[in-house]
This record gives sequence, structure tokens and C-alpha cells, in this order.
Amino acid sequence: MVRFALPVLGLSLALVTGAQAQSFNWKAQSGKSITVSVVKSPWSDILQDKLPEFEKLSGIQVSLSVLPEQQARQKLAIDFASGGRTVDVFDSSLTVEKTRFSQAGWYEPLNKYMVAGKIDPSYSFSDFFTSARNAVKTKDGTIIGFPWKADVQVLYYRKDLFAQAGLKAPTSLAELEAAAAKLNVPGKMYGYAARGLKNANAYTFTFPLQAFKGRWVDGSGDATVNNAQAIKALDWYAGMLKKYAPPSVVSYNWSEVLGLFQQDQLAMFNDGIGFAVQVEDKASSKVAGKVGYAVLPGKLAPATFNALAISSRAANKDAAFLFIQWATNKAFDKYLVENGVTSPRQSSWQLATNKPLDTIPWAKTYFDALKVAKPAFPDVAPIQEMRDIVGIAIVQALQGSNSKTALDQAQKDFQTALTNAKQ
Amino acid sequence: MTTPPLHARPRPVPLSRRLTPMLFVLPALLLTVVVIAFPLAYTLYQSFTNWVITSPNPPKFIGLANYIELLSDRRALQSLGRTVLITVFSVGLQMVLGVMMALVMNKHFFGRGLFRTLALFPVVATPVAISLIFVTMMNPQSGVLNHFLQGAGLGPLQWIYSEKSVLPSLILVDTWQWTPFVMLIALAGLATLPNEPYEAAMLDGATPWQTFWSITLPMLMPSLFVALLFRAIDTLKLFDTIYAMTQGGPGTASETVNLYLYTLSFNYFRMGYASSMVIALLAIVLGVTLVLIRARKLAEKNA
Repeated sequence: MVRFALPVLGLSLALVTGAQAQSFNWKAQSGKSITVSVVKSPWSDILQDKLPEFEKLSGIQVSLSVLPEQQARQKLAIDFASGGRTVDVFDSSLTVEKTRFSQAGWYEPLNKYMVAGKIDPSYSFSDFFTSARNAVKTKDGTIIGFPWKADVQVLYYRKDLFAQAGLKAPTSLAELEAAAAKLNVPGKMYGYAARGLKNANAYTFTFPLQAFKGRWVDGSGDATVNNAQAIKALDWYAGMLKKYAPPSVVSYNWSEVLGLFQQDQLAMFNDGIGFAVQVEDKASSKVAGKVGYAVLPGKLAPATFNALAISSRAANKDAAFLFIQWATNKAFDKYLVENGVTSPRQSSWQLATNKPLDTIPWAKTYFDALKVAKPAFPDVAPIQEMRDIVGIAIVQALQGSNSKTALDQAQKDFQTALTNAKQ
Repeated sequence: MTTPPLHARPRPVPLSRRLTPMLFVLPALLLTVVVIAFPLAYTLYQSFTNWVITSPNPPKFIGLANYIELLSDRRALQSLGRTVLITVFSVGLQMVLGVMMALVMNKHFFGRGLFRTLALFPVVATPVAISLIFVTMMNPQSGVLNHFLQGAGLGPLQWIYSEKSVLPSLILVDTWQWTPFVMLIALAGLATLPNEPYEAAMLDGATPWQTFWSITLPMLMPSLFVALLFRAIDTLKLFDTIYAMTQGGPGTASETVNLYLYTLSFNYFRMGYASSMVIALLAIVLGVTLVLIRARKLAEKNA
């Protein structure tokens, strides 16, 4: 159904961009060329396909560099640090880079570009979900990029198994655990799983952390990962994984959790909604069509955001600004949504008036989750260190250590990393 | 009348001729400086700064602070401990098993050529490919290793998924991969041994064990030292297998110096601190190498 709707949407996209061309001078930077660095993903594939449309519309030459996430991040950091000017526009994972890159002054502030004549009148920045708009702003209100992705954690559960067992989508941690216990048949069907691998696990641990009202840092930016709430959260998380997940969960990243679920061996897991496309893919998933999506118990939705940003050293910032407008405008965004990329524009999710969206089984949950989304991680520079440090504590708890002992050490290490980052 | 001295003082060699040989050495010298000395010196300089790639402030000279931090960095010290542990056990096993394999392969038996070629397969395969095969085999649920273990009545192991068994599992993989390399060098050594001592030993009625212990092993020592040196240096630098199999996990249970170094520089961007660790690692590898070479010389002297 979704695929069938694509040609129609493609056509309407062409019409919309055509209409924009009349009211806004897309040709202002014609003849210039820019370099865009993005991370390989379904989104970058679409961007690559659509690039000729932008080049035709604006007359700007775009050279696109697509790399895996880790390599892209390293290349950017090393390029920027050495004063390079090889990248004009880059895909920035705000969760990891926002604080670090803004401190280093690597983002071009966009506020001064968002004025008549430079920005397409139909662009509508306010159309982005509030959480996404906040995510691209630093503490002093500087806008450092335009959001293109908002990933929120939701609960994936097996509708069919739940119906057989007379269960409903859990609305509290206790209900979630009861359902896991009821559906758990070790070796065949595991009740609940989430990431166990160091660093990766910090993301899914955010759910219990928020559920027990814990925080990574307090108001003054000091570490709080060993307070009573965090200890309770770790007790819960490690307890659930030890009781209801496969024994090797300690090495599970999202791909292993997802694989288990797709292979009909897992009843529930929490992770980013971006994986729903793979869950519903009949070619690779045995459970396509049998899956329910729910906002996490306690109306929680830890979120991460990505933005297209301009390098502060970019040679041609105006051309770069035209590009990021085009790649995040309403029509393009709706096209992304149709192709399963989780987008942060409200207008793309107008469910009542938009028939094709009703065919996406997770659309409503995503929409509801985005309304209550809170950032998964705090705005501090040593995010990677924090994820490793807390990740190690989670692994220790999974291997039988006391949660408090593990988190006491994590607290010390995280505080050191925070202090180091301030120097 | 004075007679001229029998041996006239040699005429001084002109400067240009004395410099000519230097000229020939110069390209090699320059290359060494550019390729080795400069990066090394630059890393050494960096190790005295607090350079963090993403820091807005320029790097500051902080003297020995990085090295002092290194000494109290639990994670660094633990990773060093693991590196040494893996090296000692892995190389030790490889030496013993490699010599045993070489002794077997040195005998004449049907299909020896085929077996020798097959035995070399692990050495020529890429470490990442081997790692992926072992990750599949060591999966606690679906892996074939646990299938065999359970078939033999032994409980399932967690292999690389438990803090307790991850290092032995990695040592197993490294040993599997590199034992044939030691075998190859030992075989080459065996091929060069003279026949006379063996004939003499046979006449004296020495047991095979006595022959091996008193004749083969001492004569094989020079070859084995080469193998030991190569393997020790390689294992101290081991990265790909561990990264591909465990990424240093679970937690940090298999994080070696190299893995921690990678995390420090490319995830945390702490280049200055990472540089100090590079220098420390270099010193250790160099130290181990020198000790091994010295030991060899001593052994040769005593032989």
C-alpha cells in the first residue's frame, strides 16, 4: 500500500517544490558547489535519490559523502579540529555531538539566516515538534541545525501473544513485568529483552531511569547516576534482563534484540521506533503484522534527534543553507514519512486527513510518543564517556554485581569525565 | 742530510670525498626521519599536552600530567594487565602446540603435503572473518561449540558473553589462528638440523623424549626465538580479533590497551592523553623485545 502511494507522492512533491520555486528564489546561489557529509541510513539513500531534484531547482552542485556512523563522526571531528574546510553541510547526531561541537564552535548559528529572502516563506520552522525544536537549540537559544530525524523509544509487543494470554499493552512497570513473566518460556519465547552491550545499553536503560524519576545529571550539571532512583532503575533493568532475556543479552546491541524479535522468539522490547520498518518487513521478519506498538509505561518516550547542520568553516554558507532548507522542508519530510523514516514535522503526521498514513501501523504511537518525548541524554560534553561508564555498570549488574556498588563507581568516573570536559 | 721518513703521513682526504658516502645514506636517513622519527616525536610532544579534539581551547603544555593520570587510571592498568595475560597465555600455548605440530608434520606420512597446507589456513584467513566464524560458533544458544559440549555431557558455556570466560575464549581463537605460524617456523628450523647428533643418540640408545629434550629443542632454539619474538610483538598489539568479537566487552572484561586506546582517541577524542598511552605501550613493546633478544643472546652464549 505504502509503495503504491509513492509515485503519487513523488509527483505531488515535484508539484510542491515547483510551487515553492515561484515564491522563493532558489536560484540565488546558482553555480556554487557544496560538500555534504551524511551517515549511511535509509534516509541518506532517499536523499541521494532526490539530489538531482535539488541540483536542478537551485543550480547548486552537491557532492555527497556517505559513511557509516562511527567513521563519519571521526572524520568530521578530525577534519574540523585540523581546521579543514572540506565539509559544508553535515548530519549531526545531537545526542552525541551537540554540546561538544557547540563548545568547539563547529556549528554555524542559523538564527541570522532565518529571515525573509533567505528562508523559503513556506518552510515553517514552528511545524517541527517542540521536542525537536528544543533539540536543535543550545542553552542560549542558538539554532545549530534543522532537524530531520526524531527517534523515540516505544514498546514493541506481540499483539497475537498478548491476545492469547488475555493481556493488554502494559501501562505500568508492574504490568510490563507481569506480562513478561506470563509469556516467558526460556529457550523458546523470551518475555522481555533490551540492549545489554556496554554503551548501547545506556540508551534503553533511559526508560527505567525516567520511569523511576532518575536523571543523569542534576540542575548544576553534576552526575547523579548513583542516587536512590538510579539504583532502583538499574535493579529493575538488570532484574528483568536476567529473568526474561536470553543469557547472552549482555552482548546484545539493537540488532540482536531486533533479530530475536523478528525470529518469533521475543514477546516485548523497548527501543527506537525507527526499527518498526524492519519489524514490519515481511521478507526478513516472521512477526510482520503481529506487532503492537505502545507508548512506554508512564507515558515515557526517551528521544534522540538528528539535524542537518552547516559547518562554521563552510566556504559557501548561503548555498549550504538553501540545501538544508530543501532537505528538511514539508514536502520532502512527508515523502520521508511515507518511506518509513521517522520525521519530526507535525504536518507530516496529520493522521485524520492523510489516508496513506493510516496504513503505517506504528504511526499513531509515534505521534503520541513525540508529544511526550524527552531527550534520552543530558546536554553534557562527555556523552560517549557517560554511555560507556554507565554501560559498564549495567553490564556488571547483569553479571551479578550489586547495583549500588556498580553505580557508585560509575558516579565517580562520570563526575571525573564531567570535570575533565570543563577544562 | 735528512732522509725522508719511510712512511709519509697520509695526505688528508678532501672533505668532498669524506662527505660522498654520507650523501648516499642521506635518502634512507631522511625517509626514516619522515616516516618514523617525526610521527614518534610528534606523538611524544602531544603526550605532554591536554589536547582534546573537540575542545575550543588550544592544546596546553601540561608536562607529565597525562602520565601521572595514566598511573592512576584503573581502566588503563586493567587493560594492560589483560594485554599481558593474553600475550603470555596465547603465545605460550602457541609455542608448545606449534612445536608439537611441527614434530608431527615433520614425519613422513601419507597426505603430509595436504595436511601442511590445510594447517596453514588459519594464518592466511583475515582475522575479522575468523572472528565472525567464532562468534557464530560461540553463541550460547545456537553455537556449535555448546552443542558439542552438551553432547559430551558438559554444561553450556557462555564463551565470550561472560566476564569469566571471555579472555580464555579469545586466547583460544588467537591460539587457533597463530599456532600454524609457529609450526611453520619450527618446521623450517627442523629441516636445517644435521643428522649426525640423531645417529649418535640412536647408537647411545636415547629415548625419543631424551632425543627431543637434549638434541632437537636446543638446536631448534634460534628458530623458536624468532617465532616467539614475532608472536609476542603481534599479540601485544592484538586489536582486530577482539574488536570484531567483543568490542572489549562484556563491560570492559576483554578491553586491552589497544582497544582502550582506540576508545580514548576516536570516541572520547582525548588525543593528548591517548598519546601518552601510545608512548607507554611503545616503551613496553620495545622493552619486551629487548628482553627477548637479550635472553636469546645469553642462551646462545651458554649453549
